[in-house]
Amino acid sequence: MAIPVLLFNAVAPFLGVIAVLSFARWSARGRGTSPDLPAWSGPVALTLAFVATFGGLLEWPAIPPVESWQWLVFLVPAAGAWGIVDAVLRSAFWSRALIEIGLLALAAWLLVPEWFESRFIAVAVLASATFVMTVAHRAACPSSAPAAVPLACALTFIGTAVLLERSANAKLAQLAGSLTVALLAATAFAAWTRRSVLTASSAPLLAFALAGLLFNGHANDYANVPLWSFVLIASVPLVLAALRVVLTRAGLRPFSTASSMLLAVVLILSTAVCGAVLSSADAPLEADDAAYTTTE
Amino acid sequence: MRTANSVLLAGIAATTLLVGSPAAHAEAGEYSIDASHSAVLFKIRHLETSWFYGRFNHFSGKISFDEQKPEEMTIGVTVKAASIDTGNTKRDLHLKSPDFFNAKQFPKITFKSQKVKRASEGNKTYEVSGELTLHGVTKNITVQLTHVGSGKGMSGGKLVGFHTNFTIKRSDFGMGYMQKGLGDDVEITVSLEAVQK
Repeated sequence: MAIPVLLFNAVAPFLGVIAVLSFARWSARGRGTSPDLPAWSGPVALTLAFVATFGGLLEWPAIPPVESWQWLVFLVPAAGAWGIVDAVLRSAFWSRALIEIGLLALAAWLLVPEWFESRFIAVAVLASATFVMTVAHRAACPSSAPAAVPLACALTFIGTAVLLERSANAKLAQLAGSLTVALLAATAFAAWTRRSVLTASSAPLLAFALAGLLFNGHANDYANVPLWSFVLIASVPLVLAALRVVLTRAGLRPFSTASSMLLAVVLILSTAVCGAVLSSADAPLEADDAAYTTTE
Repeated sequence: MRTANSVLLAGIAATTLLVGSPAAHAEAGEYSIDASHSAVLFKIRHLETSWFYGRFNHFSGKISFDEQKPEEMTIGVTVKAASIDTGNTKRDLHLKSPDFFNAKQFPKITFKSQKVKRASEGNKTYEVSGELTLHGVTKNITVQLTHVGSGKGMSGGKLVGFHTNFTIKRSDFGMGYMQKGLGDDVEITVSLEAVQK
């Protein structure tokens, strides 16, 4: 592995997250016995990891970006910032939902490329799906088993990276890989300190990063990776939230709940990745190829 | 005797000019690129070790050319980015993706000439300046274009052939990904045969 890739895709995200979370823990000392780290810590740590990989390995885009996927480098940090603001505002569900849907519609408009078929429908679907994923992430985050949620998220981004690599999008796969490393660092920190590092404030960033990467992977897929593989991975936050609610109400112990959630994630990701590996094939020649060939 | 020889030499010279020279074949006119007898090739350094070759399979274009007035020549070439062919399907898919050409957003690579002048008196090489648009970025480049020859096609149409070789930096066109694995300089060879319309 080349040194810059190792540095910006693994070392920097891992150490950056550990440093930010350690500082957050130090800054929160003596403020009661809350099992959660401060709301800003998760979004800041994940944003740093994402931006470090983008800045270190990929070309920094023009402002505004020429290619729609490049908006991710601005929108993912913006989603993190919104998570912190939302944690401070503590808005009611409906007012928060209205603001989020508006912001997500704007973000989706920037992220869906102009050449994409049925752009308006794609914007509506992407914004709606991201909103649902955000709500689901919030529901899945509470801290009964601190390391389980970041680990489940890390696994999700591993699956995303594999899918993106299969669809011939190495840049996007590297960004997903960066978040995987960051979330593994968060998992290690949570297991070590027994504190929740991914509070509800991280939900907008996690949901938007996942939705944005998956959508761009599908939009720029040249290897016929099936749509349902992308959709299956996008459904992980919903499954996590549903399992957490159902199993907690059923009275399962935190360890059993966490194990069930992780098992479900592994099953979903395995199915999605297997589908991508088995279904993706050589892209067919396009019908208008002949228009570019002139023969006597 | 001297006068007779002079007249004979003048006659041979005139006949050669009218019949035998390429200029007699290459009249001013509009030509369409015959992609089946043309090529757009490139080579790039791989891992700072070897030269790696590829080509584009689909392109089209028009040439306006009069050998007597080469400065008035115009060339326009459009290459389909998604027709890149390196002999390996997986690699071709990767090259089409946003990691490199982003062929869905930028489906065409174009060159449009703006100025043509003779590279030096007495030869058939021209300095052609124009706009190269690649990956959504437009830059002015100047290439040395050689008029290889003129002739007639199998079906009687007039043909003209050109060849050029030039180098660009892919990072100048926003395609700087994987600089360690692939060199920044891309050497492009374009060989064109065009048939008069």
